[in-house]
Amino acid sequence: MTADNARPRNALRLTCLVLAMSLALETGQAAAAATIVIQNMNAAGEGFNDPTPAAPVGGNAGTTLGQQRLIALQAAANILGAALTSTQTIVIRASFEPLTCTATSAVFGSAGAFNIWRDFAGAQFPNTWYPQALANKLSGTNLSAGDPVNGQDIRARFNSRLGLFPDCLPGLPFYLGLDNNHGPLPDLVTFLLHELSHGLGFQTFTSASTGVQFDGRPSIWDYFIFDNTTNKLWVNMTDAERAVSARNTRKLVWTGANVTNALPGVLSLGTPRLNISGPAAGPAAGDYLVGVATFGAPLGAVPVAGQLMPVVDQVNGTGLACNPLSALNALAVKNNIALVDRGICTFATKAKNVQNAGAIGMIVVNDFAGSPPGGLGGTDPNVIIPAVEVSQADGATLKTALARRSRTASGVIANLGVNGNQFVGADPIGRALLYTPDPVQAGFSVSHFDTIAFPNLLMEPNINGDLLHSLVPPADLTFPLLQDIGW
Amino acid sequence: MQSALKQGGGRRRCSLYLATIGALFGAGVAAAADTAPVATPQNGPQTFPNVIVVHTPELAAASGTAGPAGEAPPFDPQSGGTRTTVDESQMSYTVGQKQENGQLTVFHVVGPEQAAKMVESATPSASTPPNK
Repeated sequence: MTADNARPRNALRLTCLVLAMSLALETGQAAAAATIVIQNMNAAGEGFNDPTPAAPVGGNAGTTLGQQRLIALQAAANILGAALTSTQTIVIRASFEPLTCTATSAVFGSAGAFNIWRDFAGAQFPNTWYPQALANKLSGTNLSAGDPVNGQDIRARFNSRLGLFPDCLPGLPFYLGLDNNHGPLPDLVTFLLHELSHGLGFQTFTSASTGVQFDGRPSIWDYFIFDNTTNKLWVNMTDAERAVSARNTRKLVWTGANVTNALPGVLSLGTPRLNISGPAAGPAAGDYLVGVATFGAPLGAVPVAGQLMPVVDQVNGTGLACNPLSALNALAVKNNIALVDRGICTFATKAKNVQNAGAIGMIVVNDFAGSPPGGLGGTDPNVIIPAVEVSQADGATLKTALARRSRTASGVIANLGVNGNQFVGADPIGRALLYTPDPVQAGFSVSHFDTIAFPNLLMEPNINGDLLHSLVPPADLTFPLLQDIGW
Repeated sequence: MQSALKQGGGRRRCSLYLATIGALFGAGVAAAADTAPVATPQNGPQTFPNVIVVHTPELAAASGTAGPAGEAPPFDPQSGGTRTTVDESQMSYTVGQKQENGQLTVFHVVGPEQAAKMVESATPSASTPPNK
């Protein structure tokens, strides 16, 4: 047997094995949720087969690096398999291999659906793209049976060099334990849950940048995303309308019943809120999107209210508040809410300076365009006033309203607090927000929950350190969303 | 049967194999493993009820990378469905960046170009609160 003809033969044998297992599982485990087959693509001695000795960690009993990697993948797949239901096996073709790295940044891995299907028996909507694993489930058959290339439902690659080499985020390897006790290390199980969920259908194949549908047809996802400004579902929009909708910050929501019904049990009430009113507010009156601070007093149900007064300490009329305030600025902000500009020094430094001058709150105006406004990072236990950030555009609106102020009063009232009736990460009627920054961030936009969600969700665009190894309520909304699209 | 499976390939044997496995079933996956000498499940030192592991390095060559989007979608007469392979630009990538304060920020982008751009520029995630 030559190497050339060995490959297809082995592939056929493998296909036979997977089919046999599928048959077996369908026969013997009717009550099971879903079975996931992990195809370990690594050659001997590499990746999942790396023989480097490793001490068992966090419930991972593997004794080599390769074993531990594989066990972590099994653990993540098992969590998914327990939540999903399907008579068809879900095939993940996986490997650990060298991926792009620098000393300060690295690709951890990638995953996604390998094939998508439309117009199969059992599809809920015609002319609509479904990821293969979901198409298999809905059709009740393995649509790519016997095909060694297309038999893979999800293709996944992980970085084998991460944290282990000086040019690949040294000192920050994957945490391979199963107990979520990852400390500062990236938790492999969490990362896998996120990526594999995308592969199962937590994404649209329609472009967020252009609004153009994949191959001219909508994705199943597009039937559930609704723009609160245009009152249209994505599936009913033109390309141009979708492109605008994709950057309609905190106005694009998920309408699926499973997510909406589960949301009150997952997210907390109390959406951060800045309201502007007062006799001089004029067109600036209304609610504003804010990013909250990691220091100072948290926003509460009882708002901190006061006249909004700007700090002006630069020749161009802006106010950085990086130094103790002048007498004039101190007079302006005393017992009021200070408006300062972002830049030069830390947010906490600005907050401390306006607080020392008597301000009861601080609003930072972002110094570059875009929405939503980011949060204010940093720590300073001496800061006790609340602080938020607004977008550059909203800051300009507020400054216009303040143009006719006196030295001690503006007639523009700022209320910093929370909307106690609105879930954090939902619109006013309780539908989950999708992440739609302006400008569109290719790769982030639309196919994630909004970053404002609290508690943090698995399918936000960034992985937060406090996530649990769960897809289901009350910990998370990932599985309800997958249910909405047909899982 | 073992020897037949080892020495020859082909759909006829596959059918036989499937029939045999199907007949044996009821005994669970362990029975399948016992009769599958070529690609034995390799769950390793820990097992999970919803997961089966198989070692398939030979499929690496057959897997390749996803092809161009929308290319000659095959029609499946059994299901009536049409399949297309999504290209790499639809894959979800996880990128980690070490911040100035030493903390690691982990986030997701779609497509290898975006991922590479993130790594090269070490652009902080828009969703991570900066300190200033």
